[in-house]
Amino acid sequence: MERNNERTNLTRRNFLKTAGFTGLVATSASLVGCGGTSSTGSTDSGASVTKTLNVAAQTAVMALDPILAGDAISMGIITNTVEGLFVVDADGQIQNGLCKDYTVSDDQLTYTFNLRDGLKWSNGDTVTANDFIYGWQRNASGTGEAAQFQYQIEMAAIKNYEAVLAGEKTVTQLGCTAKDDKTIVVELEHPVAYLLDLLAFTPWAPVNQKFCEEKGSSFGITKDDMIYCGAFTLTDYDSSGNTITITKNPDYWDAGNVALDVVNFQVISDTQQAVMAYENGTVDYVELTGDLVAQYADNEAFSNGEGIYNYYLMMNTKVPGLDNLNLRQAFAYGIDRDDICGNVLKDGSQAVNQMTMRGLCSNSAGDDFAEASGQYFAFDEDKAKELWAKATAETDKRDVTILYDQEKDFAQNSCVFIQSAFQKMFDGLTVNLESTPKKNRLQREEDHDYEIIFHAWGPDYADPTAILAMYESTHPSNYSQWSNEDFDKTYEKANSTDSGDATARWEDLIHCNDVCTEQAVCIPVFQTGAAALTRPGVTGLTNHITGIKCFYKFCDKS
Amino acid sequence: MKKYVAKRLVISVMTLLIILFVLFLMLSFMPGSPFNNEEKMSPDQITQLKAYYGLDKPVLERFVIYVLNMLHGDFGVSYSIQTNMPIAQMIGGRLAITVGIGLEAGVLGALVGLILGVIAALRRHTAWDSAATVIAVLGVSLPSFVFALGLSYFLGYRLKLFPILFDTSAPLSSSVLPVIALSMFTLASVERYTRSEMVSVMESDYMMLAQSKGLPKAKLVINHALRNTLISVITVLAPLLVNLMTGSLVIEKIFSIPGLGSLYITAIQSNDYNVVLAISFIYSVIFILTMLLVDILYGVIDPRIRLAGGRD
Repeated sequence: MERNNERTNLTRRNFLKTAGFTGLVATSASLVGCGGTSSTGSTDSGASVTKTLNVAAQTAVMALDPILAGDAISMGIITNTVEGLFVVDADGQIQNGLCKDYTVSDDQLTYTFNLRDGLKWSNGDTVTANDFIYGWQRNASGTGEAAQFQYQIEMAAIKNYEAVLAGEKTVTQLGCTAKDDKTIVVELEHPVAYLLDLLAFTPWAPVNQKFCEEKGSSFGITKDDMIYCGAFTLTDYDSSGNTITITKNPDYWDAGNVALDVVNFQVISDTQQAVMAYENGTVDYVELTGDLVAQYADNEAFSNGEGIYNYYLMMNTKVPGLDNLNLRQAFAYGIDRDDICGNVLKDGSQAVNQMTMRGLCSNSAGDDFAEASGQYFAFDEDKAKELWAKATAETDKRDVTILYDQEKDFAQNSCVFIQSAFQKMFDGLTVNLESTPKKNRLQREEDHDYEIIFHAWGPDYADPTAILAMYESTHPSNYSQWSNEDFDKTYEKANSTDSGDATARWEDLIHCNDVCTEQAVCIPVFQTGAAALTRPGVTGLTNHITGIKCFYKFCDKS
Repeated sequence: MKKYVAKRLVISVMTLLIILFVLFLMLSFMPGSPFNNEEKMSPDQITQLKAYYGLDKPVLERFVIYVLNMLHGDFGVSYSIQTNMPIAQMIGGRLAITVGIGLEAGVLGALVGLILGVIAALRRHTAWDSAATVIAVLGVSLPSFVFALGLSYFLGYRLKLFPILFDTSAPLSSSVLPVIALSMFTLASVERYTRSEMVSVMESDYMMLAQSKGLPKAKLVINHALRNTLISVITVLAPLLVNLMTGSLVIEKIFSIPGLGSLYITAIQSNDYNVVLAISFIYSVIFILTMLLVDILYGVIDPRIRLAGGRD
């Protein structure tokens, strides 16, 4: 027995020792190869220093085909690796890209673009005028998802665009031709003030016809299914990975002026984690949302500017009651926008009192369109109640439902605030809230199956028509089903007879903005902010409201 | 055994077909569109798009085409998440990552849980037992994302011992924190079951007989008690493992893991039908195969359990 006890004691001890040892070995094995965080910045490779910029991206790449990419990260990567005729510098100014120079006819209907010498694709082919024509015709003839940017051709008003997009004429009849290998001629239906801004956008990128046709349906699927002619080339992209890397293109026409060697995009969907990655030195740039904006507002790396989207309460004017102007204006006066921005959102968003966003565009005198327009519906509770009293005498509408995207916490918070404010302010009013996935909300907008939607809109190009177009009676995106003769006539004038007169057009569009805002069809609430942390020493990083967020050829890191 | 496995495989295939068909029906009734920017397209363009992807056909016809294509390894293409990307290519890398991390978490949780459970059972009513109970309660009560955030903050951000983001070029080192976070619930569950089963087994008559015959304690525990305990533990472990291998949206988001969990949620929200179907199919296969493996393991662990009844 004694012998057994000894053996038992020894065995139990050995068992525990073994278990402990195993645990220690397992823990040590997992520590092998574990490093701390990788340091960013420059790496010394002996003779030269590699400048690497690490950017936190919120979503992964969707597509590399210029006419299929609809998200910011994909479009940014494409346009930084496949340059178009124009680029936008760090000050927001249009600069020549692959276009050396251009001329415009006196009537502003014909543009002639001359390409630079020595432009090369990454497979050795020469970049020619035909690459641009092919790419634009490919956009015009796209079907399904590949047709999503055809409205850009419409906005550019290229000659015969209507008949071509309707299938009544062939794409070769679109008013753009390659006069020779280095000359592109574009003819327009009417002058377009923002044409160069459009041409800096992704759908206008050149496409090598031979390469594209060889690749067929796999064009733009992986990095090897693309060729490049921009400031960078795409060197690392795994469709299931979270890191995308673009590397300086030594064959780029302006390579000598590109400061960065590498730009890494790290997909981090959680902003808090992205901020920790910034603090750890893993990334150099991160966009802030929610409470983090207030938290980092005093940080030396913090910056805030105008964001891309305006949020509105969009009214379905065909719903009985919501067609009543007094009711809509009562709602518009009853929203304390500053309170929402300062106490509910607290993320750098700013109140907005007309339809467009600050920073969208300015005239030759430098006046911002949004600020030059009339400002409406400053919060006024008395005025709101007065209008509500008038509305109740004219309509029986006493309850409304506000629909918002369930994915957005700030949308819920804003709508709850508005619901509470309205129910206190307006006697007899009941405000119901309904949330739904974004895709369903979009469908319901299209089907006009809603009363009020908490809805955002962002501009695709730097012109007021990017926002105002959807309020024109016949526009397919006129989801509020609003119609106003004054607006329609003035809008038509701005895009036809006055299109060549910058001053007259500006006045026309200001008037359209005033009419639309005053009618409270889509009540503007706030413009999103663009708060970010940028590592000191990094320059040139931008967050443009329209087009591509940032052209990295203008960035540097010390 | 062979007959049993063959029969289970046939039933599995039928089950998968039924699951796929039900999903097909549910997806076709879902409101919303699978395409991006449909609000900017004309009705003609939308009709063309649906015809291009075959979405204008009746549900039954689409289902048959889908199954036939699947047999050739063609799961279709993504409509909106990564437009026209073949699903197999889209999911392949993510599947390996998700299953890899899930298995690591499962193995870690099972091993550590087993060891803690055995210690707790052998050292009942001591400090070891109390410590194991505390760990178990924490593991079961706290959601995995709480562990994830805590580990990420303290071990990753503060002490800089581990990367806070998953890195596909260094998968082992960058999966330490997510694996630990994911393993906690499994660890706690396995520990509690092991402890309670082992206590019950140690008090059984055959154990008393074995002990009275003078068997060493270690042999008693490992050769007799543990084997009988494992049967119940494996029953619990199987669904836990399946759950781990299907990915966790929250953990993937916190550590930026390009896994199946987050892709699945995105696909459902985007109405990207093919992606939803493919991932659901994969989950079903994982579940069915795991259950089959568990049933086979029963027979290995305890020969008294006959799967097919009578002789093989």
